[in-house]
Amino acid sequence: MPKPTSPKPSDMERYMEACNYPGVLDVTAVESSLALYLRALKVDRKIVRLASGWTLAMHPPLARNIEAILEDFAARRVDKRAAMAARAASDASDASDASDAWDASDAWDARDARDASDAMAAMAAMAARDASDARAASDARDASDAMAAMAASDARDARDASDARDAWDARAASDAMARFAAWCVNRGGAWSWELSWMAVTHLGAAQIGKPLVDAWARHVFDAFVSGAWVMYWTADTIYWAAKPSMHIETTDGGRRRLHHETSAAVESDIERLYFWHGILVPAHVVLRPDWITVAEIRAETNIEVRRVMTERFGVARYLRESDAVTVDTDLGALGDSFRALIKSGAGDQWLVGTDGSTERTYFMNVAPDAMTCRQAHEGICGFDESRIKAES
Amino acid sequence: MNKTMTACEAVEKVESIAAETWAARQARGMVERDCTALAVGDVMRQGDVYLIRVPNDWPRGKARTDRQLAPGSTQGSRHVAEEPFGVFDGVKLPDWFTAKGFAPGPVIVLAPGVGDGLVSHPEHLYSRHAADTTWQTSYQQDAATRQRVMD
Repeated sequence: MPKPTSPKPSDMERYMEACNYPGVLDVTAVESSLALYLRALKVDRKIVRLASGWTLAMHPPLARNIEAILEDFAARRVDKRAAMAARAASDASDASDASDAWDASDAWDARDARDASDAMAAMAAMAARDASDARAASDARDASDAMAAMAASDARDARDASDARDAWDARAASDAMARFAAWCVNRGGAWSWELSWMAVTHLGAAQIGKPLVDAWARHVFDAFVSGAWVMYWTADTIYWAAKPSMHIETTDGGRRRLHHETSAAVESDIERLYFWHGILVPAHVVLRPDWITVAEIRAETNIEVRRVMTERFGVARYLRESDAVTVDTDLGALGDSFRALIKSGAGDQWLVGTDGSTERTYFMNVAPDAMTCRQAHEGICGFDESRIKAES
Repeated sequence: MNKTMTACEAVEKVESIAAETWAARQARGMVERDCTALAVGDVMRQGDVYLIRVPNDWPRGKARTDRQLAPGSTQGSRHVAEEPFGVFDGVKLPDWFTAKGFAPGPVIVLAPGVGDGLVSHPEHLYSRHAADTTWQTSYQQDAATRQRVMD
């Protein structure tokens, strides 16, 4: 009779270490663990890694799945075979025993440890991507689906017509499909699972003695500590991807946020995601800020992304080149300088001034409803500016 | 007030005045701003940091070893209360703050008889403060992020 699995401190330590991305990657061990996981679920699938440089053309099962998602978005139908497989696994995860295991104290301890790790930042990155795609609608999920599907549908139409178009159009279409596929893999949900989340089930199952749950959960755990990050179900294949490299900065308050000034903050084999001080932005905002245009800034509906774009573009240049208007000017809090309240074409307002001792000009983002320089300044300093008696 | 000035003209005028101010400071060899005459309730602005003169019995927290008044590692954050200032955790802002959401910075204290104290900065003029005075610090906030402005 096999010896029952018991909570092992070493498993907790292994989990915590595995939450530092990218960590070790043992491809053979990952795929062996996933094979055992499928066997425990009594599900038959090929196991394929999505490695750097993958394309839909290289992975027909994934391409079919993505096509099916596109096909079925309007009717809200899904790829039934893929869904059934995912459902079987999901049922195993959601079963009462599994739920208990997931709630066990060891599992919570592991999640607490993970919250301060790269794993959490990676999940946040995925969530941010979802939010980004969903931002224009009140129903985030449907809007997210619709927005991504629209982009990819446009691309598919373009691809269908690619014979009649030039190479650039075809390439653009292909890129859009790849982006949509990456989005599907990244977004989580019915087909795509993030393993740091699932792996803690093993710790809980071991702690409270749920061998049937641990029969599959331990293999997910092993796949995770061997370097797997996400897995994605299709009708006949389970894809997996390795953990990403993360670039994280720590704020003054100790908060961790994704940021890289010259490259992607999340470098995964699925796709590269670009963050500027925690805000997910299009790649060119980081890599080629000179490509940002005033029209693009004005069209951006996410205020945080627009703020980053403005910063990268240069506030002074933005105010000069947009349809900015001067709302008010005065001589400053001490009456011996000059400052201006300027409203950009996008409706945001900036108090432009100097400080009385340096050669610098400051562009201070102020309340959009401020009517005067004084009102704008008092909104960002918090008190009646007549109390200011000296500046430097 | 001049509402007919274009945004471009307004920005250029600010830049011009900043350059003139800098040139004048260089010509006069100015390194500090005298704040020794400020009374309780008066404020000195050094960039995005406000030094508020408060009564000497102003509430304060633990003594700090870090003399930097603004959090962060950027050059703009290096507002430093030099010796003989004592530096303490801030507890509250004056009741006359009209806006909410502002957090107190450190309290800096010059004891009687210790002589003047300086708040230094790599770019801004230093501010000079008299002995036997207490100052509560606060920060300018970005309207969009509600975080301290980083200069």
